Amino acid sequence: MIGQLELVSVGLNHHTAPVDLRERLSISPERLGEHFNGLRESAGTVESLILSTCNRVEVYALVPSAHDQGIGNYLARAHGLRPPALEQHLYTRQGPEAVGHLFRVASSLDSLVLGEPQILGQVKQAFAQASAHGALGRVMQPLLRRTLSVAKRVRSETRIGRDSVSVGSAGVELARSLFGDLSERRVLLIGAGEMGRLVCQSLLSKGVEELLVSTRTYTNAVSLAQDFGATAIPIEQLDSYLERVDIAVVSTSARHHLLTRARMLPILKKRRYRPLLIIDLSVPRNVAPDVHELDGAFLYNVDDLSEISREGLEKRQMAAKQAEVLVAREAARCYRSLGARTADPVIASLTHAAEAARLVELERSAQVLSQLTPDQQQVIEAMTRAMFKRYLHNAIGRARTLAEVGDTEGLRVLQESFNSEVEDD
Amino acid sequence: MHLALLLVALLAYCASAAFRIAKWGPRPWVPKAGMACAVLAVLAHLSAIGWVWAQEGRIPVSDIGDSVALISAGIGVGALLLRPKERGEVLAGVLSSLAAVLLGVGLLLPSASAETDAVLSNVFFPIHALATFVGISSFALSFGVSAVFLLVRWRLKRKRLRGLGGLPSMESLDQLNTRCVVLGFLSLTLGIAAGGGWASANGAVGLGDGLGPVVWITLVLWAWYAVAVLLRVVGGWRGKITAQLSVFGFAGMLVSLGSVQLIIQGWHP
Repeated sequence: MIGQLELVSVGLNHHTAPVDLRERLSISPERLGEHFNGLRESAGTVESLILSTCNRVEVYALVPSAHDQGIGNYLARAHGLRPPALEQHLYTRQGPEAVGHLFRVASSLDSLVLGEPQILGQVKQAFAQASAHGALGRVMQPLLRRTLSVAKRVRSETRIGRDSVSVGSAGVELARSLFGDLSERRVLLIGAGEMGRLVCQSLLSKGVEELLVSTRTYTNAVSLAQDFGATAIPIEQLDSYLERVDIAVVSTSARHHLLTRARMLPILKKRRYRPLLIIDLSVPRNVAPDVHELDGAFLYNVDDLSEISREGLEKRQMAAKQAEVLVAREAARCYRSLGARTADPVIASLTHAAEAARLVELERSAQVLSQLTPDQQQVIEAMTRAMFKRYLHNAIGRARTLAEVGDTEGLRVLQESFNSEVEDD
Repeated sequence: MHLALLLVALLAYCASAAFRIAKWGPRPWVPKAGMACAVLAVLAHLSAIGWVWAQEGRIPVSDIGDSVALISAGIGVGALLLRPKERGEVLAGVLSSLAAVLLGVGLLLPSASAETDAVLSNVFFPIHALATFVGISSFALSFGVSAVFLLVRWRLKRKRLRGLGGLPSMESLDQLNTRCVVLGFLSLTLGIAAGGGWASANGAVGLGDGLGPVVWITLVLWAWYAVAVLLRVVGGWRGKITAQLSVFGFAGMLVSLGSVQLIIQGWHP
């Protein structure tokens, strides 16, 4: 418990709900204010955060009772569903588990593509929107900093986001093994196949210098080139461009080998055996397999790229196990510190009472003190402050401990006994 | 003291190689430990060389053991300076291993007399010795870089793509190799020229008139690397051929110079 409240997370995601239900429950940024109010009125949330992405809709909230179905019921009714129909798709977590879930989500341990980086930005945005609508308070506001810190640690201390898990990023990984930095590399896309486009998109996102496009008909090449901001070239000039580029992505619907060993041999000689990465994503293959045997040619097909993706996924899964340990430890620590924050008003009250008592005592002795020099008065002032600070030290520590374990009654007793002690004095 | 410093350097090279090549998992301190060991190794190694200079007033090149250890120092320094733009740990590990092996060999080889010959006080001698050893160290670095290049290339050709992400790219290795070969070639050229100057200043005989096997091997080595530089810099050839020239050039030099030195005991007859 955090004071007399509890932190809960209620929601559904790609593991628990089909896409049509996720679509139905998704919350647009324009309607967030309405939902924050709805949660406050219907479910009694004190603070709340709504995270709505294509793979999840989740509400994190500070509520008076964790066992109440209020948030789930509200989500169902607000989207025109009967609560029992939604109940089977919802999960609820409370206390440290809710904090741990938020950390797992932000660290991309719960994402469809393990380790993808976009979710952290979406979590940040959700916090910013909740803050803008005044839905966050003293407990959940600090949660953002902790969440970002844990997600960054997961990224830097494990390999969760480092290895390729898509065909596009596998193509980039191959290109990096050959060329390192891709900023001065030229890419030639042959054909308009979907996979080829994906790989080129990934290469462009890594800042390749130039993308050239060639298809069987020049007008199609021009149209495709416009989509990418690339340059179209006629298919008749393919060989001369193959002499100049660093990466060729082949993705056509041709049923035969477009690039054969006999065709590539003079091209590679003219390149002085400068490496040429050829990614053949066509099925049936458009580049003869024996081209790979030529010096300077590095030919990979769709199976090779899938192998890289599989390896990347295995590595990410191993990294996820390490990350889970880190997240669980940090969630427990964070939850304790959130609980300790509920002692703040009590500590403020204790400090205030002690300071008032100190001032009263100084006032009583004002006549005597006025006969002292300013230096002596300063010493008395500092000494009384130090005495009260020391006197309060144990009480403050006790208050934090009680708050961490959620003992609100203990906190109340501590405050009352301290106040009465001060008054008696 | 000299021996103690060399032993510290040897251990530190080995530790640096172990930190950089072995799979340690994602522990942020491992690369730092690898770098710290490499720095310690180079400092200890250079201190050992400085110690000989201070005590005996000579560069330690009087026998093959000293010379191999000096080449090892060159590799150690190069391993600190040569950094590919990314994924440089394995390359640094390979170079540290090479430095450790050569230093170990240097320590095991029998030591010759360390008396300073009066003719070595000629001004050309330090230039000849330093330039030649910078050249040979550069070729040794080029050997290490090329070996990693051929490994990366072999794995790409065999489609052994698992774990490839931890190795430097072929392109960055090719560029490093070019720099090493060009530096080595220029230094060796200077070393040979200074050696010629030293020989004529000491009234030694001219070309073809009693040149020892070491000089002939050096000239063949110079011609070999001249071809490598021409192919790469002038001809624009890249990749496997230039890497193979570097690997076979340095390996051939080690075998031939090593054999000759073990027979004739000393650099020049």
